[in-house]
Amino acid sequence: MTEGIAGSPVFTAVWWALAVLTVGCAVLVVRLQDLVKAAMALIGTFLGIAALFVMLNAEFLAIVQVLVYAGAVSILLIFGIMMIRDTQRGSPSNGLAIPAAMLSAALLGIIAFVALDTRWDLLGDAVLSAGVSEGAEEVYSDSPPAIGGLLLREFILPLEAAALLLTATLVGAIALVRGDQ
Amino acid sequence: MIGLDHFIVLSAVLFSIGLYGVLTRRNAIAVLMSIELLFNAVNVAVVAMARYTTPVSLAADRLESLLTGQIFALFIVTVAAAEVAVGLAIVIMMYRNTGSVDVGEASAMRR
Repeated sequence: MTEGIAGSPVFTAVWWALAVLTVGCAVLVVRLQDLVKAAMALIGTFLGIAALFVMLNAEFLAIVQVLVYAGAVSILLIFGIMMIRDTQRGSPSNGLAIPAAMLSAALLGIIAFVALDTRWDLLGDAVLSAGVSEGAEEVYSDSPPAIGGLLLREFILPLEAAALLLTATLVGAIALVRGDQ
Repeated sequence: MIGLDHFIVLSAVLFSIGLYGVLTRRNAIAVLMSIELLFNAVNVAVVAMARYTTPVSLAADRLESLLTGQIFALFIVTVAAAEVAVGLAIVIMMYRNTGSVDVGEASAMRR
């Protein structure tokens, strides 16, 4: 695989800017007392992750991320926050802040150690024939048709299962909040 | 140069922040928002793995297999959307029945 733009300093700078934006917004999501502001920070995180997907050559997934997360899920959460008056007096944290921070830091340390210690079988290091290398570039530069083909051939059963799951979710959510008529 | 390690560690940072939120927040909707952070962190790791590692079988005529990780991420997005819809319905029902969305006070399922 040719490295191309992925090796340039601009790519690195943009990546670090997005990483800081995403992590900063994520910290605001778990720390802000005002839940409406926390939901806004959550939208920032979603958009940062969508941009990271673009940097990973997953443009279709980036669009899905903006549509489903930054669009639908955050609207749903904001409606939930506004319908429930409890959230007006903020969201105090429980007494577990220090143990939770220690547990999260330990998990982060373990994952980072394992990820950095593993010798990944990287695509950039693999010895590929010229045809495969060019074909891979082509797949990544025009991925939505290939994703559609995969979904409707190899992954048709999970796709139908997802449709069933969404139907069940719709019916379940309505049944839960319908009230006692 | 940015590589797989950067994305994995970023994903781990996001996951840890989300876990901290799940463990410390008392408002049920804030817990749901933290769970969304967890889902997104996993998605970043899955897509980065698919982009940077070599599939076991990489034949010239089956190169779409490079996109399998993105398909996985698509299904994770679907399940996460379903999860937040049902989760929010449960929170609203809980608020209607008890007048509170504090997860510490949710003891109706204990008996």
